[in-house]
Amino acid sequence: MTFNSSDSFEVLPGVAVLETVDRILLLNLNDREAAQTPVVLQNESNEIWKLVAEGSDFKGILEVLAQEYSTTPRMIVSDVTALIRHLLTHGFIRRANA
Amino acid sequence: MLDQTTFRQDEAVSLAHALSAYVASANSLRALSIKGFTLEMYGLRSKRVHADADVWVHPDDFDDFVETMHLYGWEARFQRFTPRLIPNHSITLAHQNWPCDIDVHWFFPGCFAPADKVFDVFWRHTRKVSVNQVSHTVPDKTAAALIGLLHSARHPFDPSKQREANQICNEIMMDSAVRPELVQGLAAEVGATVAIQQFLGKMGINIAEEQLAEAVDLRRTWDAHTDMLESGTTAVWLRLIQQAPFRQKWRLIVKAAFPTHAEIETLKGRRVSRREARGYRRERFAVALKRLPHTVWNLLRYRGVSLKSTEVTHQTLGDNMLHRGTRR
Repeated sequence: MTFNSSDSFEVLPGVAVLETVDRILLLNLNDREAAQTPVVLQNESNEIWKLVAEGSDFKGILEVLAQEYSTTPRMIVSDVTALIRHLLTHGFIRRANA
Repeated sequence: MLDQTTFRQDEAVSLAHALSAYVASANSLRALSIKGFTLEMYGLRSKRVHADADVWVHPDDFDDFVETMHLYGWEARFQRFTPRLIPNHSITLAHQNWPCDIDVHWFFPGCFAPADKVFDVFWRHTRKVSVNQVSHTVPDKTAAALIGLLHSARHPFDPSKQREANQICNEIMMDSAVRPELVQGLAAEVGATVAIQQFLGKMGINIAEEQLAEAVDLRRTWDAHTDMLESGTTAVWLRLIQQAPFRQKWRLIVKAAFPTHAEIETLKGRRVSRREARGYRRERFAVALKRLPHTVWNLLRYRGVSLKSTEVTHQTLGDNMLHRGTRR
C-alpha cells in the first residue's frame, strides 16, 4: 500500500481518541476484538497521528515531520507509510479522498 | 512506534467510559456515565485517579448491557453472597487487559423510590458531551451534584467523603444555575431527601417536621445501612443470623465464618493451598472479632430494622439483583 502526495485521511466514527500530556491512545470501538486493548502512540507516532487527524495530506505530513526532526521527507517516508498503513488496516482512519 | 502494553489506570478509566457509552448508544440502551467522571467535569470534585468507571444503566437494559460488555471481554467479578439491608446496587465488570473495573449500577443507594422510576427521573436530567471523540450521556450538574452527595452520604464517618460533600455543597451555593432548591426538588422526586438531609441543612434547606415524621422508617433503614457499611459484613451476617429461624441459625453461622475453599479461590482469582485458605479464614475471623463491639452496639441500636425492609421499596428488581453478583 503506497500513498500519493495528495492523499489525506480522516478518523473513523467509533474510534475513541484519548490525548494525554505525552501520548495518544486509540480504541477502535467498532471492532470487539480491537476494543480489547487500546493502541498507544508516543513520540513521533503521536506527531504523525495529529497531522493525520487534522486532515493534512501525505506530502504535508512528510514535510512537517521532516522539518520538525531536521531530516528529509525521503528519510522518514517508510516509517510514516508504515504507521498510516497500520492505522488504516486496523480501522482507525480511512482515506478522505477515496 | 506503537505500544500495546503500557496502559495506565487513569487512561483506562477514561476509555472504559467511552466504551460503555459506545456500547449503550450502539445498542439503544440507556446508560449514564456517573460519579468521578462527571463530578470533575462540573468542578464538583478535585481531579484524581479513579479505580473504576461508574456507569448507571436503566434496570430494564441492565442484562443487555452486561451481556454486550461480555462480548467485549468484560466479565462480572465474583462477589461472595452477603446479606444486605439495601440490595447490592451494582456489579463490577473486569477485563484481563484493563487496569480498571467498570461498576455497573442498576440503582443508587439512598434513592428510595422504585429503581426504574429513579432512573427515569435522572434520565430527564441528562445531556450529551463528547469526550475522547465519543458521545457520552451524563447527568446535568444538578443531578451530578445529587449523585455526589448520595455517594458521600453512604459514608457519614469517612472524613474524606464528608469533605467531598462539603465541596459539592459550596459549589452548588456559589453557582446561580444550580440552586440548592433544585437539588432538593430532584432528591424529593427520587426519594432521596432522607439520605441527603444533613447536606441540604448545610445549604440552608431544612426539611419540614411532618415530612421527617413520615419518613422515620426510611431514616432508620438508611442510618442502619450506613452504620453497617462502617461495621463491615460482620454486622449484616449477625443481623441475618439474629432474624433467622432457630433451625437455620447454625447453618448461617457456618456459612458466615467459614467460606468454602472454592469461594476463597474465586475471591482471590487464583488457586490457593489448604494452608492459605486456613490463613484467610483466620484473618477473617480476627477482623470479625475486632468489629464485634461496634457491631453489637449497632444491632441493639437498630433492633427494629429488618433485613427485608427494602424489598418493598426496591420491589422492581428485589432479590434477583441482590444475588446477581454471585453469578460468574
